[in-house]
Amino acid sequence: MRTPMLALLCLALSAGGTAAQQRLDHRRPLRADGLVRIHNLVGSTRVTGWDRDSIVVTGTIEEGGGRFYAGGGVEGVKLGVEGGLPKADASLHVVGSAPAHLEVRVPAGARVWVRAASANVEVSGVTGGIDVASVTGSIRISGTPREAVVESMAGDIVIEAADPMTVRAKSAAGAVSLSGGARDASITTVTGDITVSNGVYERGRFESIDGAIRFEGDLALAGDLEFINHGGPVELRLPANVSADFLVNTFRGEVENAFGSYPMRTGPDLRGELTFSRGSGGANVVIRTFKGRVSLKER
Amino acid sequence: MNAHPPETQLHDYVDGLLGETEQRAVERHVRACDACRAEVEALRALTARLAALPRAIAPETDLLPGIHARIRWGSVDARVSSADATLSPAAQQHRRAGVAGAPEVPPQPVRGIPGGRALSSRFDARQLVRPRRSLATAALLLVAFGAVLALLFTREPARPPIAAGAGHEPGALSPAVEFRALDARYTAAARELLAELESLEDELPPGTLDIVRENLRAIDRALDEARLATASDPGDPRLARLILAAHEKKLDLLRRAAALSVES
Amino acid sequence: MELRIPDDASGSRTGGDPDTADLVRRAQQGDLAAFDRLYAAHVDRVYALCLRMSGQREQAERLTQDAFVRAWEKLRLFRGESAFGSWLYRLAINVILEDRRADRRRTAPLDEGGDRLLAATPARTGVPDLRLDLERAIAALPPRARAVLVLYDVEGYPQEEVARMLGVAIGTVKAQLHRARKLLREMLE
Repeated sequence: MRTPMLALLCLALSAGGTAAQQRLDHRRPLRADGLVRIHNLVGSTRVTGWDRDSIVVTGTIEEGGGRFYAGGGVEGVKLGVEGGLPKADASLHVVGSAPAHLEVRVPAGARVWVRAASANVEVSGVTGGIDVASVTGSIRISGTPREAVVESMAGDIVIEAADPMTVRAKSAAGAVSLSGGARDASITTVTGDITVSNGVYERGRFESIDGAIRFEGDLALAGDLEFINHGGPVELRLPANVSADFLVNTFRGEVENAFGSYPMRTGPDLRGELTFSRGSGGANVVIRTFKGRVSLKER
Repeated sequence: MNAHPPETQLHDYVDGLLGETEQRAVERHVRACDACRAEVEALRALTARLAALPRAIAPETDLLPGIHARIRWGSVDARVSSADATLSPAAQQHRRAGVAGAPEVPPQPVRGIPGGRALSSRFDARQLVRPRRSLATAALLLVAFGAVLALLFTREPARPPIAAGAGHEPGALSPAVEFRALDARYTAAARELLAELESLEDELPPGTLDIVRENLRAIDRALDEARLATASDPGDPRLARLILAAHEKKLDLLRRAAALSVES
Repeated sequence: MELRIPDDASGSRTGGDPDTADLVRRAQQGDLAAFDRLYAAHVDRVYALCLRMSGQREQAERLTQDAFVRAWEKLRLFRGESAFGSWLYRLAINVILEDRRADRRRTAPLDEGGDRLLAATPARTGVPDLRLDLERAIAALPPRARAVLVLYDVEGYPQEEVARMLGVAIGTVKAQLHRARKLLREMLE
């Protein structure tokens, strides 16, 4: 394995001659609605919006964690940590790299893009737009971004909206929880649970294969919600005076309905289908499972 | 001295791809920073060597006889054995006339689709639609298939499923048969995407492939169960929709994993 | 802004010399002898591309054959808007890219590729040792990175063109290119 002399040299130059823990303190101007791209694979990244037109990065890089870089102009900044030691041969992967912990303050209206592998990511107080992806790191978003696209392979995702937002969240094995309402939400997992609560939901599509889907929010007047699951359960806890048309379709699953006893239609084309209306209708709720249990409960 | 430019900017600088302001900024930094200047010089040396590589290399074997054989016999197998496949007279004439109007011969047997292998060696086979084997386009094409599938199945649910071979338009396939073909294509495409992903393993964050495989297994189990149910409910649009959603989940997972190999 | 100009296979930028145009016309009408002459004029270029993109000799030979067979089949579609060499070259790139995603079992392990590459005799000579070292290193790159490096740094296509050919975003092209260069430097140190 060849020692990456250049990386060592740059570390030395930026850290004052040692490869020990580096402390970061970097600032540069950034427009109020500028773009921020952050690349930090291992450790943690916390992004907070503030009311200045500048970006400030503080934090630490542990010994061997790589070097900090930053570039760009007043419309957009790209920063991160790269080249952690030791390097694996012929692979660009930062295998076994030490962590870097970044604290980034950005203008509140900025658009924020973050990439992580095992690093945990937190973004709060940002209204421009958020795009975060990790492999196993957890992701927490809070505030009122205009829209949020959040993806992970196995990390948990928590989204706490201060106001209803537009959100796309995907995690294969991690759990996803959304609270605060949504204008348009799409959440999908394979085995992770999905929990939706506390707020008014206008349009939503919530899908899993084996995870448990649970909805405890409120339906907008002309709301449109769809729940799709294969084997995992779908549970809705709705107020007694909910006003909506319901369509429940399941092949093998059981259905528990607290909103009245309506007949389940069965037959060659209508396998386990249940349709009924509550109140004056208006909103639409569709639930489809293969064998997952469907529960409609009153709260 | 300002912060080191990110590596990718140094490459763009060497390639002459930076805007004027950025270029000047990098120039200033490089003048003052020994490390980055050495980096720039090393990059310039490498790209110069690459650009100087010979653009023409003579093959050691004479390839022309093999090419002639394939042109005459129109079969990919002519490479391997002397041509057995015979062309219909019309097809032969097409070939001699410079291929005007001749159907395309798929270069290799189509994998994953039942009967694909047999079809490819027949010159006059019906042209198969092959998904382009690239991550982005395969996924896009299959989303289009999904849309077609959805259209197929948004007819009134009350209509009984059309049994294959009974009372349908001549030349058209029944929805049940078409659905099976699409199901097979989705499966084949996911397999290819996974193979592509596996070849990118070095460029993915460690552990990603394991997570992908584990979750693919969970989806495949669900698909198997749903498919089994189609045996007793062939053509059921709701089942088809569930299966479709699971397929799209697989492709999405694979596409997202592949995107992780390109961090920019 | 980009100053790179890919080396046109026919050597002419104005749409082809009269001889080539004549050969193409005859080949389009089924004249195999005319096609043979086009083959002779372009096979070295096509083979060099196939060899570098695939990293090994047998596969490069097969791909070269595939390219010319397809050229024969699609010749009627060539209307002379570009030089025949460029058209043939793009076609070869498509053949290579389609094949890349096919059966992985056909791809030999990396060190085998390097040895087979040793046997290639270039039409032009360079400094033998350095060149072979570099060629072997290119053959050892991961496939995607190699494709981008060969198309951009060796063949000289602009990044937008490479992105279009490979069906990826330009950011992807940059990322793969920078990685390929980095890997090459590590391998050649």
